[in-house]
Amino acid sequence: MNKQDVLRHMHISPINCSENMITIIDSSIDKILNSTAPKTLYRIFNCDVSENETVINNIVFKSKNLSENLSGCKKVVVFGATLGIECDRLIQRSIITDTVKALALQASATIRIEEICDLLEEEIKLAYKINLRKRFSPGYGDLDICEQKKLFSLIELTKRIGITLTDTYEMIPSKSVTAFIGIDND
Amino acid sequence: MIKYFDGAMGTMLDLKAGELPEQLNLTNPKKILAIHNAYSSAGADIITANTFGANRLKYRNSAEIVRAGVALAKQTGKKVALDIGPTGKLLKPFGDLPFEECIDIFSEMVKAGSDADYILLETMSDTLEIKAGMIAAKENCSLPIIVSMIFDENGRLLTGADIKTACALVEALGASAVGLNCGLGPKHMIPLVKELKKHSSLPIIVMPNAGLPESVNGKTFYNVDNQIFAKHMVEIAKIGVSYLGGCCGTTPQHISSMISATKNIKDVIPKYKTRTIVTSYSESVDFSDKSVIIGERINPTGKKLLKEALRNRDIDYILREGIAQRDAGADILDVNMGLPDINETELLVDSVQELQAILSTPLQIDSADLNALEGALRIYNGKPMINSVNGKEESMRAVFPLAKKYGGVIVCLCLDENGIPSSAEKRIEIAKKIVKTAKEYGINKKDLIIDALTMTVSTDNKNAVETLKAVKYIKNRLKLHTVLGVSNISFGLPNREAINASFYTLALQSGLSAAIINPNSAAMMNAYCSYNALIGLDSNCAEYINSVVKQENAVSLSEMTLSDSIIKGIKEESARLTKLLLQNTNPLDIINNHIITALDTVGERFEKNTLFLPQLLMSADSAKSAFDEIKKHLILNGKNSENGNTVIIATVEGDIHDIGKNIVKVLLSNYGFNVIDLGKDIKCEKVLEAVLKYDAKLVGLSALMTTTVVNMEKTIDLIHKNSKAKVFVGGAVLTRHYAQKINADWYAKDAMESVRIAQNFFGNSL
Repeated sequence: MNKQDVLRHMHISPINCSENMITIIDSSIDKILNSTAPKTLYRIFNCDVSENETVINNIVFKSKNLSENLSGCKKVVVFGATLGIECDRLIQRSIITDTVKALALQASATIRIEEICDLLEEEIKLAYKINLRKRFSPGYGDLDICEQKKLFSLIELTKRIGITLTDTYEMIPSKSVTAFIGIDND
Repeated sequence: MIKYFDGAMGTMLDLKAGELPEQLNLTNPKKILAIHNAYSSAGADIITANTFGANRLKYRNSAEIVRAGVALAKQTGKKVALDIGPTGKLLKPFGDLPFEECIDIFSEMVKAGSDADYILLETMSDTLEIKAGMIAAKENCSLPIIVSMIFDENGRLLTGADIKTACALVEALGASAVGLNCGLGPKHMIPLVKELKKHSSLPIIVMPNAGLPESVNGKTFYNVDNQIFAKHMVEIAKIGVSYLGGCCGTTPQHISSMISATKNIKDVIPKYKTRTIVTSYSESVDFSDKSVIIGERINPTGKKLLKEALRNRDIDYILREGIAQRDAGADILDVNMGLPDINETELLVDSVQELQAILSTPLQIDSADLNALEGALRIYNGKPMINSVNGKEESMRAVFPLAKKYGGVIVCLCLDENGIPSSAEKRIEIAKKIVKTAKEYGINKKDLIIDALTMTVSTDNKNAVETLKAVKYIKNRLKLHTVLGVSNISFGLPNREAINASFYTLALQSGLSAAIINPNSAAMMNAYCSYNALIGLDSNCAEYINSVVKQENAVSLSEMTLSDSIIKGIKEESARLTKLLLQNTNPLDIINNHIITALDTVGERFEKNTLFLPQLLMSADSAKSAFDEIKKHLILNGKNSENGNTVIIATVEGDIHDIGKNIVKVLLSNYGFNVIDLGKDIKCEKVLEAVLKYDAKLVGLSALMTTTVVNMEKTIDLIHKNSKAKVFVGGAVLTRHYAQKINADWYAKDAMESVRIAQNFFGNSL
């Protein structure tokens, strides 16, 4: 994991960062790497992309931005990734005793889940020898966060990797990502 | 004979994404019946009703769907299992589904499906949801409950429990069978079934998927055909099981091949396991492994600071005590909220829930109040220790039924209607009586731990000897585990730790299984670690050495001023320097001349963007440790520590991410405000209730999601209409403009601005 990314996420410049802070960040990165169990799940679907909507498995996602992102794609990866609920506990616990550590853990976890998504993309690219577009998540642009529910009906995120949705469409565990990734045709 | 369940329903229905399978019980019953009949003809003994997700979160008419589902399955003439799957929601405190509501959802299903022959809780991945399901089943029917869980390849539930832990919980709650389904194909389940057999005393059920799902053009296929499935199921059957079946991807062919391949293998119920096990949601403590340390610090008896914290509902104080004890080596934490002037039930339940939100250490629920005890046992996620029952008829009549219903390992005190006998023999008699009575309630010996009672040695010089004699006898002859509250031995004597530690060593030598002690006491932990090293339980003396290093690291020295250490953000040093200053400085002077000036320096730098949030928080945490010392000083000197103006903060309903709000809380309290933190996902009525109760003039609200800003608006409206309090708001989705639109009095772009708002509002800097 890249320490510079964690520092950047915490708005700390590496130049005036105290030794004390570096120790906290190092141990947070270490904690996130060693005591969380990331899980991922994906599936490739055919998709029908028109100007205003994208249809995947008969489910319609109304969003111009998603359509732009997927324009020309015949197939799409639908995926989810999470660091698991123990990561939330870890952060929650340090909030009680040490707010800075909580913040460092929070930043490390955010960087970590992005990294897990990147790794998964690499894995998919290699496995199918394909090129992928940029990932696009509910909540981006005009793709309403409420569309999460439909995305969740496409793959078994709750059963297989434990991501759940609240009534207000927040994902738990909190370090979770879902997204569509267009597959370039060729 | 092994009994056979059927295979997958969903696979046979081949629904489009988003279609709800249980609806078909009403709209296309013929299709469902045809599948049941196919499995029945394939040889299944038990037909699983099509009710897996038929709960009210998914269907308005769930009861009707469940009734229809069970009736359809019954038409096959076979035995029928009411199928109950997970709700799909995560329970509180992490999710938004309250525990009692979850019980209610399952209860509705159980009531509607009570014509079935079994309750099958399956594909469960959360121990708390399993508990909710089992309570629902036990409270609404007397059918046998079969619990089947979904483990990953490493043998863990998604919520963290390993097989041993999950199995202990399910057994304690009174399941008739335990096992695994879904997630994996039969081959990968083989090692997990072996592991389960090592820990389970219950009949075992196994229902694998037909291998792993593969996706072709968005359709799911499972890669294990009926022949290979049957081959692996033979291996599983030979491990020793009672029920077999199939999950996702299996078909009547899979079931029929499996039955013909395994029908001559005898069913086996695992050997009864005698180990005493206490668990949380993810960890278990096995009393057969080593002597267990139960941390005693979360008990207000004789603890002024904790008493004060409980009166102020300072849950964070309780949590910090929990974390400190765990870090010091406690295996289990005792939780007692017995203070005459508080609502014990409410506080015990809340503390248990909050502790479990951050710690996986199992808890010992300790109360003399039966309502409080039941409330906490009910919500507890795992198989707890229960403190306690004694030899009085009344006590046993009250406690044993609770223990039977919710599961747990019970501490049994050797006293009865005639008080505490002075001799070991009489205490042993009481222990025997308790064991016998427990059996009548269906509670097994392994779930009892005997407390032979520590009596003060200064009142009678035989006291220690009699207790040790009883411990030895109970351990060796009655074959029961023992526990002692150790520190009572030295009551009334000087240098109590010396006596406590020596008595602890003697008790360990007499076979003591668990001690309730202060794990923060170096003397006690030294006694414990030395004992383990000396009797050969600590290879290479590694734990002993580790414990010494820990203690040395706790010492630090430097020449900083308090202001320096706060600005630099060094917590331990700030606490130490505050303690020193308190010897000859007025607390208020320390606050004004050292803490607040340091915080202001840091705050200004933050506002000028020369330092950032992490550094600001390091200073805030250091200031907090200084404040904590001052508060402690005031309480111990009998002075009121109440300070500052009250600010209520909360994250609005529907929002469960609260790190931002917590940062605001830390900063506000460090600037001397009396912060009442209502928590996250708080209904607007609750906020108003608190405003009125504490007569608060200022409220801070946070919202993270666009979907929850509406609740923020509602809350503001309610407060403005019913009180004079002002509201400031913050959170990821808000802007100054938006805050204005929803009628907030102020918008705070970050935590520091919240402090400035509060300072300006109350018109001073403290």
